[in-house]
Amino acid sequence: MKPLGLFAFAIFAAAITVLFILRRRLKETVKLEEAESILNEEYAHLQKEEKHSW
Amino acid sequence: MSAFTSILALVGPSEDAAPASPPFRDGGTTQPSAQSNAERVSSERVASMQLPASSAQRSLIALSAMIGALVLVSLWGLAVNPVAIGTSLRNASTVPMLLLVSALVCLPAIVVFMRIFVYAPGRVSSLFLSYGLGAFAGSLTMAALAPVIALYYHSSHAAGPLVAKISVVVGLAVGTMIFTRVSARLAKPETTSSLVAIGTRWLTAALLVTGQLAVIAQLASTVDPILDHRTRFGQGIDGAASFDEAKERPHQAPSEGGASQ
Repeated sequence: MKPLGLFAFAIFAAAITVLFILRRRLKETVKLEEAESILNEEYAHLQKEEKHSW
Repeated sequence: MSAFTSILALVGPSEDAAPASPPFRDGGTTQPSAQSNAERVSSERVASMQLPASSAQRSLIALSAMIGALVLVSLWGLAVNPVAIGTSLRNASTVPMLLLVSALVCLPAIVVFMRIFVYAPGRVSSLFLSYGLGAFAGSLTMAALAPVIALYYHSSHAAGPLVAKISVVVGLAVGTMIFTRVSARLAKPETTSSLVAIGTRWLTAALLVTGQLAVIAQLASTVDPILDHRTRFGQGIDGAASFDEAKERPHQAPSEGGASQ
């Protein structure tokens, strides 16, 4: 194996690590977006109810 | 897992089939009165096709697909050239390395190309999603053919490498097809049937495949051969150059040690 091959393997290991870290972060972001979407729905529903009550 | 069910739903051919529970919520549909007609049509289309709505969702699916692709090509590497456990394990780490590092090298150039030249380029996360799903589908095909490769490698000296090469070509074709299909699904509704958009989509796919093959060939020349011999593809640009030189100077005697590997 040439030194460039070893370097490629080092990049591979670093990229795998970054992939998993990014994936975990993105999972959290998606969960937050879902929660935000639910809150928006609830807010819209409450606003509608408030209009009807007036 | 929701990401992997989304991957399978996006890779599949049925565009109109809508499962009972969508994998992701569309945050833009909560206030329909505030949306323009085009946005509403686009969000309805996204919801009906089960496409991820936000950039984070697309990136998450793309990353999950890429991780799945790496695992699957690792399985393919285990099946190729199984003469010893050491060789199989080496292949199982080398093949995913070739895929991931070549993707890291190629994708930035393709993003720049897409931004400058492609008509209605869409988002970068859409390109990553298309690429991840294409890589996943191609790797899935290769992994599905891995038992056949292992059988041929164990039973025939000549047919084993040939079957492995054929499986790579089939995987590449499937991956390219899925890449263009997902790109078409993620494109803006008004550009899905435009001839220029279709052409540039296929041109992007062709450039991506060509560039990635060139990078894989060059990377493969720096590591130990995956098959039981080093092929011309595995020699990188030197293999192609030596081929041309041999054609140009057919009567010249080969240099000492020039035919190694």
